[in-house]
Amino acid sequence: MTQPTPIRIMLVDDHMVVRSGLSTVLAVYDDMQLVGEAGDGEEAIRLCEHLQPDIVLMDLVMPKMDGVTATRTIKERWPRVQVIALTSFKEKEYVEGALKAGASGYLLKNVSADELVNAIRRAAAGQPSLSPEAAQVLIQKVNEPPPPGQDMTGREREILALMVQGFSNTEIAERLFVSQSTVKFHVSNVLSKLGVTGRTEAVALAVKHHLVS
Amino acid sequence: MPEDKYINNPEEDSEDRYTRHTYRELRRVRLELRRQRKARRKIQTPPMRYLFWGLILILWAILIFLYQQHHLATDELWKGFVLGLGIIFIIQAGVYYFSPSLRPHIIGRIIPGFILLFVGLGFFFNLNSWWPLTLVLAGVAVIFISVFLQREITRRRLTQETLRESEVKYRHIIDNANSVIMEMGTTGNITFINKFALNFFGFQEGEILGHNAVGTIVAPEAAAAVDLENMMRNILTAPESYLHSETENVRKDGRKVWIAWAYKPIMDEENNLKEILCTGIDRTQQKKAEEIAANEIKEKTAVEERTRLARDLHDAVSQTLFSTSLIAEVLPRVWERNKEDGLKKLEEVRQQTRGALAEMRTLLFELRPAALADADLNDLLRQLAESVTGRARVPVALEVDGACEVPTDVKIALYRIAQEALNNIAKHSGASRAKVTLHCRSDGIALDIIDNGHGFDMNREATGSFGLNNMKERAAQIGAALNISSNLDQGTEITVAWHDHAGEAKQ
Repeated sequence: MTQPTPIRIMLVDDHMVVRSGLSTVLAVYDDMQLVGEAGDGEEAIRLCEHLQPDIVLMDLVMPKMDGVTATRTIKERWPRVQVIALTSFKEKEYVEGALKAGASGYLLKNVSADELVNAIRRAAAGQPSLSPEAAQVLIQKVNEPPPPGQDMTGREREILALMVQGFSNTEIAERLFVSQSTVKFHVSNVLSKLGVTGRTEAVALAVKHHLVS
Repeated sequence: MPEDKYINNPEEDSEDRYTRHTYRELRRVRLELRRQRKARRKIQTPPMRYLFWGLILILWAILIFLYQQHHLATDELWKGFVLGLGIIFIIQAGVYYFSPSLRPHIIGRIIPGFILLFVGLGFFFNLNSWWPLTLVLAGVAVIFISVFLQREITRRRLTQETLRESEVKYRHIIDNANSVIMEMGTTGNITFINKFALNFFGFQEGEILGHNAVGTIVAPEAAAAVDLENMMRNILTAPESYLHSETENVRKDGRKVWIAWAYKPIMDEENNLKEILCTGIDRTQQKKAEEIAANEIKEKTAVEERTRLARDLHDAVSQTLFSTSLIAEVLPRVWERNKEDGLKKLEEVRQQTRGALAEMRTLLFELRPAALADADLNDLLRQLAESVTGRARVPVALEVDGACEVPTDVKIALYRIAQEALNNIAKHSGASRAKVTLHCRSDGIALDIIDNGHGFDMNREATGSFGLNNMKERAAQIGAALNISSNLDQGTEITVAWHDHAGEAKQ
């Protein structure tokens, strides 16, 4: 159990009680060292700068700055730092958000101390760890049919975006400096690629699947 | 009348009923017009009558004078009178010509005037041969005049008929309009009221006409009474602020109604306020609907607020239990390493579970706020203190001095203020200790919440932050004094002092 250098860990959670519990856990493992605690995302970034921890245990829903944003910033500035999301939420948006932001693990706040310590060790070795619930979300995502309209060209996406904003063909033509018949041509392509028959349906689909930004 | 809204008796033929109604109306209008005509004549005739009698007297004076001067013989006096009378009639006709109201009566003066004139002249000059000519002239005059008269009378009749018709229509509209139509004098006494209004307010005509609006359709103690008084005073100086209003009025049976009023001041010749024409539409139903909608929004907001609190609490409990489970899991290892640390951690577990328990009870109160009413204030405060101790790792001491018996609303307000204050301590204060003190005395209660956290700058902190406004509102609702004092790095103290006026009165 003796390691020359323990894993340096920082806790980020707005709940004092959670930080207290986590610190108790870390204290009993010799290969773990608690180097700092932060109550929100902003503080986390500030502390990260001079603490340079190996691992950050990151809550996602916090005041001032949420965990996803903080994770993204930390991974951008200090890619070496591994972030493990530790949260009570298992919703798709959070899992995806945290992993896209660069978190190497996603644990729920029902994790046992043993599992937590193992996840920290794996993360320190550069391996990911996912809670079964987070894994489930990812599996579902893989099995989901891809959203329609992936084969749309840039121009078609542009026109769809304007359609979503409620512009008519005439207005779109004016904005893009093209003729109305060109716009009509693109619009009919968009409709067929999305597999819909009407403008409204296309807009609804675009909004539902976030096809336009 | 395919559609008649005013049928009360379905047996009755609506057309009959309508016709009868119209005739009754016409008769009323006719009587009214005759009354007006008489009144007009009364005003305008006397000077003319005196003119006539004056001229007769002067005529006699002249005749007697001429007789005394021997210009006239005794048997010529009556001839002179006939001639003079003719002249007087013609003078009268001339005077009538200048008065528009009397102009129609010219004919009645000219005809006898000329006849008497000619007859008089005939007598005087003994021109018996003039007689046929006189009569022919008189006849021609009569024919001309009668034609003129006929046209004049027809014109007048038409005018009157139109007037009468429009008046009937007007009355019909006023009486049957689905609106309250009234006129009020300058003191607020009602001078006119339509049938709809009588039915609507449930009064007989005699019970309301001539009576003041306050005491009949405006409840004396209502805000509307004050509004009315202000309106009477100010409608002339600021008519634009009294075009419309919506007031709560009252029926004879005491039921409240809401009416949207429109006002129109009516002036007399000297431009003084004579009357105010008030038309009103019943808005009671809409008002009720609006009230219900407002209540729904209020309730919805309250429910949302409760849901938010409940979610926060649920979150807090989950976090606490997660932490507790972690500690409990590693407790054997802690114990192995250092018994004293183990004992400390065990105490932490105890506090956290107690805190979670308290949070759960608090959560229950958020889900069922009615339960707050039955709870004991001491217990509620203890529960809050325990939950903060467990959740924020800030020990909160509770001290109760005396036995508190408080009205439910005061209890709930104090609970909510303490809850807000302790939440702030848990979330923002960074305090390591806090204390809640409840002083119960016979004449009131003082609640004191103090922490040793980093405080805040009273001047810089917007009062809206940290739920300070909520606390102030709660305190204001029960008429308690709320005092917040805080300085940077010197902690915060919140004091609520509630004075028991009822208790004092009992003593």
